[in-house]
Amino acid sequence: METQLTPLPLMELKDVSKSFRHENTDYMVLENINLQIREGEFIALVGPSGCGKSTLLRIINGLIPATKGQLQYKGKPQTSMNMECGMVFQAFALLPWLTVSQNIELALQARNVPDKDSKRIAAHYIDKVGLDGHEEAYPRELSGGMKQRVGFARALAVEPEMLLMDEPFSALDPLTSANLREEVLDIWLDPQVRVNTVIMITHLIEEAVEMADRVIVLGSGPGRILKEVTIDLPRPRNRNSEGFQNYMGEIFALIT
Amino acid sequence: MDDTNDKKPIALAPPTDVYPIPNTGISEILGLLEVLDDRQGKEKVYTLARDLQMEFGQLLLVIKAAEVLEFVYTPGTDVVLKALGKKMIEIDMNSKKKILLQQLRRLPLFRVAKEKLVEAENHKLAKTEVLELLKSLLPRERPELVFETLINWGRWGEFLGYSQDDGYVYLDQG
Repeated sequence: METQLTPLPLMELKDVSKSFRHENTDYMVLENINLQIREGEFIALVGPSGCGKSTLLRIINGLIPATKGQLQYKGKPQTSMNMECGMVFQAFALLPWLTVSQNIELALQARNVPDKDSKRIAAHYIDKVGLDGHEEAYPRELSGGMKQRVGFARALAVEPEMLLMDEPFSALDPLTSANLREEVLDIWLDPQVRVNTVIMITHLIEEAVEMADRVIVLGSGPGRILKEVTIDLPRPRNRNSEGFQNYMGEIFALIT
Repeated sequence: MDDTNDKKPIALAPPTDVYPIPNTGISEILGLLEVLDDRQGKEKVYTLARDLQMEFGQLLLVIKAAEVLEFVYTPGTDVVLKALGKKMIEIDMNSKKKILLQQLRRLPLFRVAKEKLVEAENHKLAKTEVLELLKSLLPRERPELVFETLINWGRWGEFLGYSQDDGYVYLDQG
């Protein structure tokens, strides 16, 4: 698969650091993060537990401000929430008193999309992720895999440019994960879906090498980028190939 | 007089060819097909359980479900992807649903459910009625679990629908 890379990055982080203050002490969570994200890329963030991956993702979408450094989106400073980001969470984060349709429509209503349009758009993305037939189901009736499909549809419904995913498959069994990984790649490659840049946090190196164009390896104490590993393998990727195993070994050695 | 004769099951003559469907989801079945495809379409069951770090019983349920839907077959200790199973992972979402609908129509449990829904007023049945039907069809199975899978697979294939708000099961495209 060929990605359309543009010369200017979609997003750039320059010397970004983040610290949290607790009882008059500053705790540095991320230090001197310099990162470019190019349009059309699928990026994986990997690193040990507690290294700041989730914090970095939330700085990228503007949920959390950086303490130092600068973020630029399409060449302009980003100083607040980035409305071009859709986010998918590990624990799904669905509202249990709303149906599948209502959960997705809510994301659109929050952006003041009129009801008629939000129903139509929600129906379109329900179709895209395979939730047709489940519109009136409540989250408690759904398996983990189906709940996460709602998460994807909700993120995609706002038609973002970037899809951010925080361990999207960690709460799922291995087979459902295998299924949804393929479906996420299909959605990323679908020319009818606006989003074409994905940033995914995962603790599984195999998952990162299988899915990503580039793997950003973070170290901890405080979180910093150890290395960026470009995965130069054609898709679909064969986990048993020598190239795949070499990349896994390289990334594993950096983390341990 | 024996007054238990007054209480009759909803199915007057339960079809004898109705068999249970494994209580597992369609996403897991599709995941199994993906994993098999990665392994040239064939793998030993115990190797899969080991490599996926899955509880063996749970994996067997998924394999059985895939077999019931005719996506795999299981010669000996192997599980092998059939042509239909391979097709399922190559096509787009709407085409997958069409195939699933086609396969559900072949399953006796879904055929009976459809017959009862067609006969019913407004082509819908209350959940309680469906549970009674399932109890009579599959007396050794837990009706709530069978109901859960029936609705799960039924929604996926857009065969039937269920609204928890009004408690009715209805026919969709089935």
